[in-house]
Amino acid sequence: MTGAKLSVVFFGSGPVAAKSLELLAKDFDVEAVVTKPKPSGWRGEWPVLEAAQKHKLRILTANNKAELSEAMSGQRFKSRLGLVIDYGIIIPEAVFLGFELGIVNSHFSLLPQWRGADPISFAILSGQKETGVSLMIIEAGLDTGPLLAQETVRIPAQATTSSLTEQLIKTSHDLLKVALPDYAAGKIRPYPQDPSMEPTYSRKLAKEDGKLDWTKPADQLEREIRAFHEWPKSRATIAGKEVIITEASVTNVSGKPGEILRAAKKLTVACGRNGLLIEQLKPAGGREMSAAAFLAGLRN
Amino acid sequence: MNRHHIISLPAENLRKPSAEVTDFAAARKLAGQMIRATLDWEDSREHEFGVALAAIQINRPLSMIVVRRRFDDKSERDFDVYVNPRIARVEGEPASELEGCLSVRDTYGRVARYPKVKIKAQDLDGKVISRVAKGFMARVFQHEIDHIQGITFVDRCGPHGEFFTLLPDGSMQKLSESERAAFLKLAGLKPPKDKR
Repeated sequence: MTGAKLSVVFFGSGPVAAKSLELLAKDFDVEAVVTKPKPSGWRGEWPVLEAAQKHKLRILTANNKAELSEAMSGQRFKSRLGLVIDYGIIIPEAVFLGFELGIVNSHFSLLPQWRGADPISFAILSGQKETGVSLMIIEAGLDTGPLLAQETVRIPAQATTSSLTEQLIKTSHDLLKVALPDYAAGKIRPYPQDPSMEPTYSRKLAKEDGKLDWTKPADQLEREIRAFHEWPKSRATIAGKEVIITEASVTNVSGKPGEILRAAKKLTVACGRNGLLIEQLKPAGGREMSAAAFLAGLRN
Repeated sequence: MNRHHIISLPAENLRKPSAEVTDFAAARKLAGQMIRATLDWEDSREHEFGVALAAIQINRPLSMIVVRRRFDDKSERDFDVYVNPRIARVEGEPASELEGCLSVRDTYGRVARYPKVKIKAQDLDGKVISRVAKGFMARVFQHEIDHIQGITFVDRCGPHGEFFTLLPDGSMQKLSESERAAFLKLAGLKPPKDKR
């Protein structure tokens, strides 16, 4: 038995929103896409706008909360619910109350864990084995709203923020395909986030987070290297050269934090606890290379 | 293996997490024992079904459950086996219904469970399987997978939960305050801390 595709108004702006929208356009009737406008003179990609144009979807733009209120006031949608993914603008109450079933946010963590701007990197940084996706009905607080559903995802040992994000985009879509129709049909109701769990908060990463601090334990730095892999990248100075470390593993050595322990073609740096065996690194202005190649370059 | 091998609260092992199954030959053997114990238990009960069992309930701390294929017909005695099961997805506001357990003698309690879940597991050949369950079946999976984490339904009810006993005529009678206190003292309580 088949039914009509569920109608939603989509709010999103970043690359995760664009990939999500590509998937949504197949399985939902996306009545409109609300996104940030392309800045005049911008010559690069503007993914959500391009995805919306490709699928011939109706587009509304707003740069901030005030413009969003303005753009949405007086709009009448047939959609009983909205969906927000990776938008970067706080949606005002008048907008989310304007939908009979509210606006659902697909948040890439198991709320109430990792509320805030960067749940994926923080899940990797914490060393936890699992994370997931939560579908949450937005309310005034930051990521405090009641949930419709959650799905867990194992964090692979070698996960980077971008590889885990790709996985979570797929998981989010699988969850939305099932839970949004169930919600719209009255088969499931929202429930509060687990009050017995202490909420944790992520934040937007900054460039300074990428500066490698050798006094930290090696396993912490190994996770930073993966969490910061695309940005802000883990940076250090090794043998006088500025490098970005892209791959490393924890090794059982001890020494003064930052002390370089060289042995044949291996490059190990002592940390606050244990050491990091550097596997791949990228010197400033150069290409990504193995530690052996880097060391050979130093000798010349 | 028979119903006398089924352990009951306050047995300590019911509050310990079970280990991952890696030996599937041993798991195949264990599944048979679990099913036999469950059916033997059911045959000794007038009004109750042997719906499902976790390996720890016959004192084997392994991540495995057996679940009756059909709950409405006692003559249907087939079970499905799920090895290393975990709840992958939960949906919807939890609803409270009465639950019983082969390891909690003669006492039922109201437990809030998600109405819809998706589980991931392996079959007895080690193949990865997944299954979506709603309503009562969803309740069964959540109850059994709790056992694998060392949680019994009593722990979910908590110190203020409502408990009932099954009378000989098949009806439920709510425990009085003193009966409830005595039951909780005997059963012990372990507040469940869901792993995240």
